[in-house]
Amino acid sequence: MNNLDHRIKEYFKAPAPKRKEEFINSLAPSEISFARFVISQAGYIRKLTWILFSLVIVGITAVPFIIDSSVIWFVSGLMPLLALLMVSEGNRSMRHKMAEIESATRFSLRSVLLARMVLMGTVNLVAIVIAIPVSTHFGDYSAVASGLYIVTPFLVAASAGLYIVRVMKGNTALYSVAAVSLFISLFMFLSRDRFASLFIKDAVKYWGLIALLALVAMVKQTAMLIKNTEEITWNW
Amino acid sequence: MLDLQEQYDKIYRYCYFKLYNQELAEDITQETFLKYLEHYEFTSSETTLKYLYTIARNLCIDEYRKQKPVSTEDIAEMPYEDNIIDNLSIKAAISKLSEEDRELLLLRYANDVGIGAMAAIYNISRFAVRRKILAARKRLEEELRKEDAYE
Amino acid sequence: MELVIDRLSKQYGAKIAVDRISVKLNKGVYGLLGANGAGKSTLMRMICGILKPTGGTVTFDGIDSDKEAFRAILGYLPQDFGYYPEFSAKDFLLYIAALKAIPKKEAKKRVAELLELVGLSDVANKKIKTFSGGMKQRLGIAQALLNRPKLLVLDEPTAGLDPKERVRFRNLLGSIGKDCIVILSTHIVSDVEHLSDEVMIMKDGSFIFQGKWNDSEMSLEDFYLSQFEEDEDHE
Repeated sequence: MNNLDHRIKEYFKAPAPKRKEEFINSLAPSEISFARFVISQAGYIRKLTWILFSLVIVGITAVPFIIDSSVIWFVSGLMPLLALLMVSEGNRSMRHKMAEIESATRFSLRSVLLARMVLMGTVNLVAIVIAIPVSTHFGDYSAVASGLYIVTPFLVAASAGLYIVRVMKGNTALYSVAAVSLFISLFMFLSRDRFASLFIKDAVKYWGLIALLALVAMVKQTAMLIKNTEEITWNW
Repeated sequence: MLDLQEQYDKIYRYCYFKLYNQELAEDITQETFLKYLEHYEFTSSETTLKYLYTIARNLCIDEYRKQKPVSTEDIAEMPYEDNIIDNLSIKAAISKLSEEDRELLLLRYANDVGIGAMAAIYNISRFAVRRKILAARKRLEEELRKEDAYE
Repeated sequence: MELVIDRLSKQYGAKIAVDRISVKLNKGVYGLLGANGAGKSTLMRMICGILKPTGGTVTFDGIDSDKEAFRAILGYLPQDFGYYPEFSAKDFLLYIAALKAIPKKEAKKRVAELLELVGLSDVANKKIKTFSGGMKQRLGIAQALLNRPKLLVLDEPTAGLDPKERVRFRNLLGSIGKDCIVILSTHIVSDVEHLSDEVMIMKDGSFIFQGKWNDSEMSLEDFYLSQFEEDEDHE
């Protein structure tokens, strides 16, 4: 009877279909581009982050009209807060235990981190770009000096923060970052009177050096964070 | 969770042996899948096949109404690649069977549709499916005997 | 459709978590059975390509597990997962859909279908923090299915499911397993018996059995328990 089964099967051989691959491929949904993905991530940045960021912008632009003396200290003291917001957004996947699921998707945790860092970085850059001319105008220092006094605390706080969330786990990591940021903020707020020597003209080049080192460190830490996503999904 | 690669060929085969037109069979096949994916994607395995074949059958019936039906001579004249004596007699024999019998044999032996799935497709019991298949086979064997008797 | 795991190993310092595991899997549901700490999760993570092995490879139809194309056909449910605080079930699935590169319009459709499939349609807009353990687990299963995966890896998927949810899950698995490769891990023997076609038993990082279990000589349960007794004797 097997022979008959076989013959029946042979009879029902149809000529090959011609448009199969084309059809099946047309069904596969198109994919979103990385750029579109980054834009979609923008929608997931917390409202709180936007609110605090707006307050910082308001602070930077309004403060000159409130206090008479140089505003540079206040503005530069706000920079570590921006760094904290950036690190905090980047850290969310780990804090809320989404990292593992995100890792197994097509874009993966890497892209999520990259997207968030790029978004927050851009946004912070806007703040810095606003802060520098404002501080220069309402202050005693040159644009270069003002720029460095603003950018350096940001970069130092950011690189330290990124390093901390890479090596420490859970919520304690974020608290540590917050503490470091606060420390740097206070240093900037309070140093105008106490550490006048730090801000003499000659000292500017040291600020430049620190800023450069911090920039390199920040870039390196960001790269390490994105490359070694395994490290940070800690409960493995 | 449909295995599109596999089922495409099978539904296409099913349509081809109803319409005997390659272009048309492929059109209907694609339309079948589009309809299926729109409404029935996450059904269980047995109802998947039921929906696929039911949609395909209905679309084929709609096609019939548009054009004249295919005659037995046309079926027997369908070109095949091999020309072994075996195939000639089976060709003739199957072309003498009813549409229903041909469909049963195609589903069971060419498309490897399970008894359970066939029961769902025809909306009859598994027992009835087995009975029908056996009966179709018997009729085929009878026709084959007649064919062989001519040689 | 074939998943090839070739001499896969993971070593942490002196400890060997996964010891040169080799296996070839085709369509069907495979149960990975083993005690907690036997290395199941480590193995599953390496299969998903999210944990780098210290040796060996994992390929699906020739695609290596660290490639984007591999993740494109993968669906994974980890043993434990969280959610962004204010997310509703729908928000969660839409978020993951974006990570799976699914365009918005298509994503909305699939999210609705999947919520229906796992029985969470009526709580689609409710916040996940109001969900029971079983509901959260069903949501996890839904996210794994978003991209119509060809390889589905589920780590302890039945944990927290009540009997009714288990039945629903069993049926779902039945239909999925016909057309893709499903690997589910558990430490519950009856899960493996009811849900999978073949079983792989893992102990101390290796497979002590893989294939279809033949009940005639010994029940799977008895065999599994006997493995533990051996351990107790050694202590």
